[in-house]
Amino acid sequence: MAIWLLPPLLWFVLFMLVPYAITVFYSFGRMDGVLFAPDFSLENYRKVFFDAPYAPIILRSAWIGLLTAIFSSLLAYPVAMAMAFNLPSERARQIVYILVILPWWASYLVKAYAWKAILGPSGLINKGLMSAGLIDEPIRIFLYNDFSVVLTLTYIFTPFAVLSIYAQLERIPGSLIEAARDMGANGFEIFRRIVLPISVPGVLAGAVITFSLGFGDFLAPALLGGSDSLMISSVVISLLGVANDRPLAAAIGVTIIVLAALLISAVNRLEKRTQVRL
Amino acid sequence: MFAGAKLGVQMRNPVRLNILTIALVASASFPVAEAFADGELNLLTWEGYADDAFVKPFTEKTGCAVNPTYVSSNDEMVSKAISAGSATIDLVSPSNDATLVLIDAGAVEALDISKLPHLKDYYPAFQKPAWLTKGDDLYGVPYGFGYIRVALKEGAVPGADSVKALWDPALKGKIAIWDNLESLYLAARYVGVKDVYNMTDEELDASMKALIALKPNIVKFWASDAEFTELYASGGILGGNTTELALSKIWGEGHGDLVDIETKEKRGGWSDSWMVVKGAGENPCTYAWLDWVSSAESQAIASKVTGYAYSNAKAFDLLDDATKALLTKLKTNDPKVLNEVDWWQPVARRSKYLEVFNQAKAASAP
Amino acid sequence: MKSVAPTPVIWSLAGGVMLFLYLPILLIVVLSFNSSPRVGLPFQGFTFDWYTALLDNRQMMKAIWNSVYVAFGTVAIGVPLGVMGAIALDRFHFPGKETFRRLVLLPVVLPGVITGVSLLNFYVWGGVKLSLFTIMMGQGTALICITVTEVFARLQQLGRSQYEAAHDLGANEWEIFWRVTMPNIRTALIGSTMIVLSLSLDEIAVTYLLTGRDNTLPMVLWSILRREATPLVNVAGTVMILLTLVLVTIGLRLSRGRQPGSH
Repeated sequence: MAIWLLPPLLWFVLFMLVPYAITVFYSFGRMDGVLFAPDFSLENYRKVFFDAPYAPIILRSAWIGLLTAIFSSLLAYPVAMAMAFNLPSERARQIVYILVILPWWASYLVKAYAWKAILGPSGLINKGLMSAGLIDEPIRIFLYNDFSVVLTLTYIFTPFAVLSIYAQLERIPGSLIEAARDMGANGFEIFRRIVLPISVPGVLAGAVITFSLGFGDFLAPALLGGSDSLMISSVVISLLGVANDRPLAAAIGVTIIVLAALLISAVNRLEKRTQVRL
Repeated sequence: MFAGAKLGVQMRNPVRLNILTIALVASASFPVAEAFADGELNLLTWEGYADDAFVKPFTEKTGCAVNPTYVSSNDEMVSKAISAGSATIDLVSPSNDATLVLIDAGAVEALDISKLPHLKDYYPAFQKPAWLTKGDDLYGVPYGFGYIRVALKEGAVPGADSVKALWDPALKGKIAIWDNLESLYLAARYVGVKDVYNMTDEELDASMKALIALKPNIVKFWASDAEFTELYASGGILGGNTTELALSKIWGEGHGDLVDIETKEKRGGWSDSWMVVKGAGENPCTYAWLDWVSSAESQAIASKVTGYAYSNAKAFDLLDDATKALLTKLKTNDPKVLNEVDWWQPVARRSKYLEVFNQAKAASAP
Repeated sequence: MKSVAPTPVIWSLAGGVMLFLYLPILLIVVLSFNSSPRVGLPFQGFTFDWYTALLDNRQMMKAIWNSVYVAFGTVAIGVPLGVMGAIALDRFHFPGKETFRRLVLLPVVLPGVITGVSLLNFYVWGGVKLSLFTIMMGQGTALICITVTEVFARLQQLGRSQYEAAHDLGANEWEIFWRVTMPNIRTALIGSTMIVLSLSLDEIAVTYLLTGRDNTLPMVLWSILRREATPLVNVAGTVMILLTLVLVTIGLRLSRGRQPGSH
């Protein structure tokens, strides 16, 4: 047992728990000029919870993350279904699998710029609408607002949701569906009573990942966001960079670590309740 | 030293070898950069500050190879210079709002002025600027500089002669503002604060309110010159606050209608300086570099590359006509204008400034 | 085939989503040949110039190499540790098992910036110099959970009968691992390796905070875009797709070649 457990356990202790502990230590301190001064003060946490920008920005980021998770799951589901049930061979499945992750490799930044080129005032959509004679002036509602942020995040993270829903659907044995069909169930009934319930943990897992990635993003709001699209990761980066306020950044970090741990517990519980034994 | 670091050092070579063999299959033509044994200089700087146009002549002359690493913010430069040390970085090129932070942190060393003969050719403003001086020592060699402009499309706000033009309701949804504390300074100048680098709570509050009042006009907080250029060229905005780099690019692309407004208020000025990371002065290449980059000859080449003005007053005369005309149009070298610039200073309450700025950014438009 | 929804319906929905996923990719590839000096539209004419510009760009070529180097290092850290963790979770009961499971998941839920800040604090505190190696350790740690989750799910499906049978026949841990466990988790392993590789190649948040002197491709793209957004960026995107495709194809071939017979 030790040979399997010990290496990852030690690794996690050294590279996660120790860094988290140091972050907790920093979060109680303060900056003395450019140097860190250890302390035992809750001042940084008071700021996180009660000073104007921080708590609302955390909530705002969660909202963006939630929208990303919902849209990614909705888009991912039919693709995962097609992969699990409508492909003739293992080889075809492998190819589609690679096709799903291939867009990832184009680099986040490049993709974000591509979306600017699609949504912008002289972008693909506006050019299309104008040459079709539907509009005379470029429409400006596509870019530099929460819509473009959520769209880009959904675009970038949907492959995660596909893989995670597919991993769950893949487990459904073909015989189960055939049996249901033999008993006279139609496609919709099979979907509603077999596929959907079994897929729930996969949807949940995908939603958690896409939520977290959306929540923690700082590039999409910087590149495609509007004048109020500020997210918590950008705030942390600016605290380190612009203000060199490591203790406050650490306090926000600890707050989010606790929130993340709570999220995992909640989802674990939900997952257990929804897991179907096959 | 703790176990993890030791493990890291021991693992490094074998891991690297394995990866090399694997990766070579797919990338036989990749240049594997191996460190030079000596005659090497590591720079942490801005893109454009280690351009081949003036790095090549330097390497040919001195035999010092130059490895630049580019950063995207002053703060990244500061935190890396403080944490990295001279083993990995020899020189950094921060702006004037960050230089004193490095000096106070003891991350950079005082310069031996006797080895820097070109300094006497510098504009007076850059011979011994406050942001590079501690006691009698000079800690950096000034390099590129400029000041922040308020620029608007011709006729967008008729008769504009003040930063107040940006608040004009005619510009609703039509301007881009820099995602930088400079924009908080801008709001402070709008409400009439005298010393924008040392604001009181009341002044900060008033500046924040002014910035929030500006939000209906702001389409986007821009993060790079390229972004501002693109926004203007694509017709997305009518102006905003910007740098000479974006201005010259926009003009160069045939949009001569963007006017650099001479505001009644002072304008914030930036000035980058080469600073020597503590201990790096012993590297013979370090002073060779400082000597080269402070020369009029190299700064003239650099001016052509970046479109910035440089601190050596003699560099201007060596420029080609096109660059001369551009710099003249930008008025960067005009001594009268230089005297009027409100050079960036290190802000003691940077945390508070940032909080106020973030608060304004997070607020929804009224 | 075990189709659930009517084939035309599911394929038009899935096809629509794939179109959505590929439209920007198509645009990136097309614009990488654009003779305009701008990253975006309009398309002004066909040129290979940006590709030769990439080959001439020392900084970018080095960054692509650095990215690949970091990605392989991340796989070398994250995948083996992930397999170990998954086996431990599957086979044994130990105190704190539930906590360990959740701990493993934490980095995936945590914003990269927070992971980066914690590791940065850790390295600064320990006096470790930032380098490609520190990025690797950071990414490796954050991505262990991918392999753990994928492989653990597969092991759970398998059940314990094979393992117990091999054990009864006198095989030692090592033999069981190579002959029983490995062949069974192979596809899960390939899948998670691919995901880890893809995530690492495009990782920005952790890398942003942990870069020392050497930069990975996303960092260099970021600094280039800061100055001027040329089609060079689209070339980088296109080249990364091709490069990763080549790496993955080679990887798949190799893993297939080693074990003929299994699917």
